[in-house]
Amino acid sequence: MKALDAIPIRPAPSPAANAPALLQEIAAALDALLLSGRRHCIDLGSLPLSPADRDLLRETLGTGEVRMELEALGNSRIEETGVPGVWWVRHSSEDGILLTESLEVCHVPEIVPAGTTDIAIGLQRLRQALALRESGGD
Amino acid sequence: MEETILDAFQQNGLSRRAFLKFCAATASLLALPPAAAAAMAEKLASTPRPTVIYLSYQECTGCLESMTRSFSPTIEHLMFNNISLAFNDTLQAAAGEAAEAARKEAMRKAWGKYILIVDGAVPLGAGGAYCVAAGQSAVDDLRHAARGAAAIIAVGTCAAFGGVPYAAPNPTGAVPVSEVIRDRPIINVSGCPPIPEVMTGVVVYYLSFGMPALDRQGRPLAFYGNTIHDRCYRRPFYDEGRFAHTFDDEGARNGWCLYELGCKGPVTYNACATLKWNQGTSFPIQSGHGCLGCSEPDFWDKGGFYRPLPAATGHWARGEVLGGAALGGAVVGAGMAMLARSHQKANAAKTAKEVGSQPQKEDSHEH
Ligand code: SF4
Ligand code: SF4
Repeated sequence: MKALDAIPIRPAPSPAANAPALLQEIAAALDALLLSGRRHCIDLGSLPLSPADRDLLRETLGTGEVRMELEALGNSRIEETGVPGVWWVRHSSEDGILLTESLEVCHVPEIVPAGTTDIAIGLQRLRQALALRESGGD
Repeated sequence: MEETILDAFQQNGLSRRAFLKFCAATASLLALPPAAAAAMAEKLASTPRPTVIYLSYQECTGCLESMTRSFSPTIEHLMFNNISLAFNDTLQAAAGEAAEAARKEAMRKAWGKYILIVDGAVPLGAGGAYCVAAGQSAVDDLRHAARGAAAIIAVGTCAAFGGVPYAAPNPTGAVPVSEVIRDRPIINVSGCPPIPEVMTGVVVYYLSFGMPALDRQGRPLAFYGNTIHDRCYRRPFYDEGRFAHTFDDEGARNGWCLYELGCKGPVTYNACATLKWNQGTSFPIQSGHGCLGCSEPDFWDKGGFYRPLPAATGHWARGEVLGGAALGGAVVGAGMAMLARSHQKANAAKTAKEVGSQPQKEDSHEH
């Protein structure tokens, strides 16, 4: 049997078409962030992006100083690009499938800070652990 | 206070971050603007955990198979374990009288508020005797369950349009849910089976924002707004007039358009070309087979899966589309299909008379 890749599937050749417009949108969003603190988010999955588009975005935005990994319902990668305030966010499922990919324009993506309820639940756990220690248990 | 969806997340040890991620993934799946993820998070955090009742009638369980074997187990899992309290007689452990009691109790508690998911057509023939469970016919059962439902989601082409049971000669007098229930909002999630992400996406959308925008077949536009053909990666070949004429010719090997091999993509509204199947791996056309049109009414009776559509849907007349060799094959194929069809029509007419209640469905979307 022939190898599967011997069956050609030919996608139409596609130059960078949407990346330039996206970069303009990002510039406008940064302006708004500076002026009024308004955050903005672009869902990359909802746009037809060719490999050339992606290359152009990567190249222009570059790599920044912060890179975070989040483990909640699978892995997420949150990376600041070389343009401060522009974050490249990739959420994957538990089995490593990409769920969404977006560019967020903000000081810190909303998903990063600890939530109040989560803090309260964590505090409760900590207190229980402390109480257990004091009562001599282990 | 009633337990909210966010509470249910937190009781399962999931953080606010997991919840936000879930909302972002779902908003993206639904092709909503990213800002909607925040609105969805806010809404779901305060929405009481809904009851979902899932009833199955004349069906093959393919829809449920699809839903439980879906590409992002996380989301589907959350959907059915954390978000909603579901009654489903196939998935639950209880059986027999215990199952019936559990279902009655779930319905009583959430009467007027639950989401009713119906899978399968409803047979009206012989007084409903073709589908009976616990002494009650499907049609009576559906009428009763619908009375307490806030909305009905008809999952699969059988529930939405009648599907395979409804196909000629329709010996059981099967009808879609919308023929039985007329006074409740119904969302049709068609497909044989529907894409799993579409099923769960619709439920989450309904919980967050209420009724979605529907097309004239009652399907959510977010998933059924485009044809397979609109989003097909083989479309450039269609536009260039390059077609596969058999499943093993040069065109097939080169990945050209499958129109001549009976692809129903041009008249089929579904999300397969973008969401794809099996962990986003592929969809029929990517595997070299035309679309069967499974999310459209009467897809079973449209004259043959391998028969080209009767008219070119692009900008040329049919004659220009067809190459000579294809014409020969198509004529033979069409001849056979026509024979089969006239036979079916005669049978259908007969059944319609016998059953009396058989509705005439309009043809959809054919342009
Ligand atoms: S006819 Fe089918 S294979 Fe051809 S472009 Fe349309 S959807 Fe794709
Ligand atoms: S490609 Fe067509 S036949 Fe196949 S699942 Fe999608 S709509 Fe149904």
